[in-house]
Amino acid sequence: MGFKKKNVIIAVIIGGVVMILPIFFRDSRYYMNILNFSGIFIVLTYSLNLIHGYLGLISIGHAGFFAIGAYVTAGLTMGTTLNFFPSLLIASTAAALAGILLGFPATRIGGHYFVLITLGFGEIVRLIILNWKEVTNGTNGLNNIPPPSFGSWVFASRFSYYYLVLFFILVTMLLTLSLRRSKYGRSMLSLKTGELAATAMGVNPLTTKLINFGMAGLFAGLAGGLYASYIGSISPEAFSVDLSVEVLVMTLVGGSGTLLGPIIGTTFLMVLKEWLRFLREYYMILYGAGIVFVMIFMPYGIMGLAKRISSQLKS
Amino acid sequence: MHNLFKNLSSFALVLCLVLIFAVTSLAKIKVGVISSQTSGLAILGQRQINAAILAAEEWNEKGGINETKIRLIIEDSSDKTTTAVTALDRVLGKNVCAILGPIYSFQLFAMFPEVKKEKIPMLSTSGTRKLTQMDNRWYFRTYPHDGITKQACTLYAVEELKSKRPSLMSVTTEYGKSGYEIITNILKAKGIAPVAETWHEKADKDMTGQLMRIKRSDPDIIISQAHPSDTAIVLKQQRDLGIDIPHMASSAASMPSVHKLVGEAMEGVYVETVTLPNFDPDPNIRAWTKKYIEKFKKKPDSFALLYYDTANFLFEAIKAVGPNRTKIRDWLETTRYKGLAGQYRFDQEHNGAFFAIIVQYHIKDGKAVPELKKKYDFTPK
Amino acid sequence: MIQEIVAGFSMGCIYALAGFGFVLVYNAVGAVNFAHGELVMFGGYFGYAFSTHLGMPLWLAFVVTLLAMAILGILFNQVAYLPIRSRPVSTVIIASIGMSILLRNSALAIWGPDPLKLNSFLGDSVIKIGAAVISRHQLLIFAVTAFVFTGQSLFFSRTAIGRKLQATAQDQEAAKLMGIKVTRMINLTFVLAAFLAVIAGFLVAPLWFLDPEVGLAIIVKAFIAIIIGGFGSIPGLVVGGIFLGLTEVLVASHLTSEYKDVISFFILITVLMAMPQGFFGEKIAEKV
Repeated sequence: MGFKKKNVIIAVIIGGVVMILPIFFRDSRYYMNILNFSGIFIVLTYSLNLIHGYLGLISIGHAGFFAIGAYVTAGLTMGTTLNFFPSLLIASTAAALAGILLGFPATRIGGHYFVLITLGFGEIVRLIILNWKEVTNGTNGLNNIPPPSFGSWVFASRFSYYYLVLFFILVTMLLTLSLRRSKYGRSMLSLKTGELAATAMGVNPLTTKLINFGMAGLFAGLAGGLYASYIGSISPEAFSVDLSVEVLVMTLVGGSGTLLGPIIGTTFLMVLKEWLRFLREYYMILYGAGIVFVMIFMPYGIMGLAKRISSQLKS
Repeated sequence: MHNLFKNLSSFALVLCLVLIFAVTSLAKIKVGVISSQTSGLAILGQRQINAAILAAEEWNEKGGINETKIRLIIEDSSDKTTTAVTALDRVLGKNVCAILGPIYSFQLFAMFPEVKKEKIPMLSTSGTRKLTQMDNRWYFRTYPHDGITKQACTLYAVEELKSKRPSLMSVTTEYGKSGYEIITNILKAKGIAPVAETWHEKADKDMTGQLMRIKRSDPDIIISQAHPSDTAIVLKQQRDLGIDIPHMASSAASMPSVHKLVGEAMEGVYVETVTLPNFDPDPNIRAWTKKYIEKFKKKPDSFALLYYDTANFLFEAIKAVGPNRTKIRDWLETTRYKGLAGQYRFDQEHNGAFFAIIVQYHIKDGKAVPELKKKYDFTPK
Repeated sequence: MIQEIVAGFSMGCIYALAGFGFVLVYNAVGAVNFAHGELVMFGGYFGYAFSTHLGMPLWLAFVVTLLAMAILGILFNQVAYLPIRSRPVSTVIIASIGMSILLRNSALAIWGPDPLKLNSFLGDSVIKIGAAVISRHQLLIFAVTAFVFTGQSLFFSRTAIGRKLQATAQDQEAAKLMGIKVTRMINLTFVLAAFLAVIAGFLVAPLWFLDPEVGLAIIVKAFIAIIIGGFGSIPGLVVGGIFLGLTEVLVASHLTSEYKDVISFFILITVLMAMPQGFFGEKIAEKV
């Protein structure tokens, strides 16, 4: 994945399409909303993409990071004079710290056992939000969260929010890419293939895992902050295990460990679910079937299939 | 498996209906309905949607509103915030003149900014106290809020049952948390402190720990707030564990499906609720319940009856002022309406219903039958 | 205190019962099947449909449910496991999550959202033993858990089919060379898992009731029990389940019910930090 000419051209084309895409949907509040939700969940999916794609670990506690990002951003923009962007930064840092904290057991506990740690983490965060009502306002949640602003510019419309989310997707992608190209990115991949061998080669599993988890927490916190200020109202219900599982599905349907997988998987599933709505109370059955279908015919996710097709075309 | 077949055929029917609607989208009065068709919240949501369908069909049989037929735009809000918000988009995209909303406050809170921005009247049968304290001039509540129902059950426990040592069991959802605060505040005003307070998750299946805690504190009543499944487990286990004190359960315990789960343990249980569609002596309500069961093959609950009233109230508004959002809101704010379940009139905060009843269940021939103990009416004069 | 211990034990046995089928599939074919909770739920729902709708006596409903679930088990395998069995474990996991969404919402469409009750083989009555109350159904749960626990280990160590299954689990290629029909063995595994789901379903449904979300609720608990006991270990599952059940009930009763799940998770995580492989460790190497 060097900066080959072909890749650059593809990136420019995709970038162009993504930039002008909302202009077609500008008048449809519904499509703009789907685009924005997809965008926010893409950032969240990138977070899990790091953990699963680069370390091979499964997390079903991502709603926890997401919630920390959302609540801290909302709390700071509502309760202090801080602007959106510094709040988001603090919130993401808080989530990153939570990620690092979760990274410690990851060095000791692996495989299935780690899944329980993440499940516990996600649930503990949710339960604290639910019960600590002096700070989080409990089940009534935080409402009237102001939309992001930058100077006098307010991202109040869905159209403008799209570009804000797009900016953060780009940041997330660039960070992912630069991490992968760094020494640590290679260490992570070597840890995924075999921890013992990697350690023998001089990879420090602790630092590598902590960096990975810190970054993952950062991305998820970012997504949470974007979510809170977009929807304007957050409450504990939105941060259940369901969300974490959904993000896991999005990651693997798109293709774990790939650069474009999170974008494709998230958008595909968001659009699939909304598109199936015409089936009324039966649509979720087909949504489940859709996930099974993708896994049967694209076991490495949609990106896996795309890669196979492109390599077949080459040969 | 006639049930499966029935559902498959109704599935095909729905598909046909969708197609027919797509073809014949003539000039109609469009009203949005957003509630949970899927997920664990569908237990209340599906009945509400049914109630709205029933109301709209009755109007349409009589020719609609001022000769124009009503078309309901029904969307699922599932158990998610995002699904609820996109459902709102879909409904608004069809240019509806008003919306019958979901019951759950976390979804309503997330919809409020758009509801205000779009200036669209939204009515729903939610109980969460906070909803009408958010200064949203477009939201109308047509169900007694927790401040009413919880006041009724607490007053009944303290004044009629002479409780001095009450204990509280609550579910950790918005419903239980909101009610808990109101109950403890009323108790405090009466100079009573609960001797035990326990919490459970909505999905918890064993309440032994909570009930044993209650038993040790030796209370004279249990006031519980929970959803259908957990209510049934609490009531059943209280009886199994031999904790022989009165129980004041929340309105979930008035649902017929819960009685089947609880069985004999329903004997003597007090329940705070709003109406009893399945047992009301009022012939109009009886006729309505019969019609509902015939059409949907399910017994309605109190939420469904009030949702039906809500839909009718809204259709009356449209009849009076036409499908104009602002005019509908203004009309709703100033008009009284007599529905099947009772009188509706919106106060400053847009709370529209103020009645509650306390019933006690007895087992007669293996069935739970309610006995009306007291009616409360807190309608502002 | 005795009362809480009884309740914690019976919850633990329920978690274990729901986990048996999950562990069986994992041990036999290495698949992590998150839809097993929905299979348990369908076991209960079929039992309800046959006994209440069709008026069969409960034992007959149980037998017919076994047959119906055997078919569902094979279908499940043919659709969501067999085509992807050589794929990465995470692919199989996501497919099982997809199946879980599919089955959950099918149950909602077929049986509706209201909770339903399947009757117990022994009715609703309770027995008083000293200061504690124990229901007949709870006694049945204890007995069946013990029976399934010993039965499963005997099946794998003493019967020919059990040994064939074990051989398939350890090395499919070698098993094939030995003349074992691998696909048939995998089908058999899913049928056995479905049978275990029916047993669990018939025992869980009278206490937990049946609603479309119950499968999810039970698999989460069973999964925790499996991990805390040691992934894939059958004694671990039972011990882990009882440990979890006791923790939950005792914390709710004696510490705090508001933060009971927070404290339970803290205890579980602490246990894992001390024993990173759970109580009983793991027989087979890590697969996720």
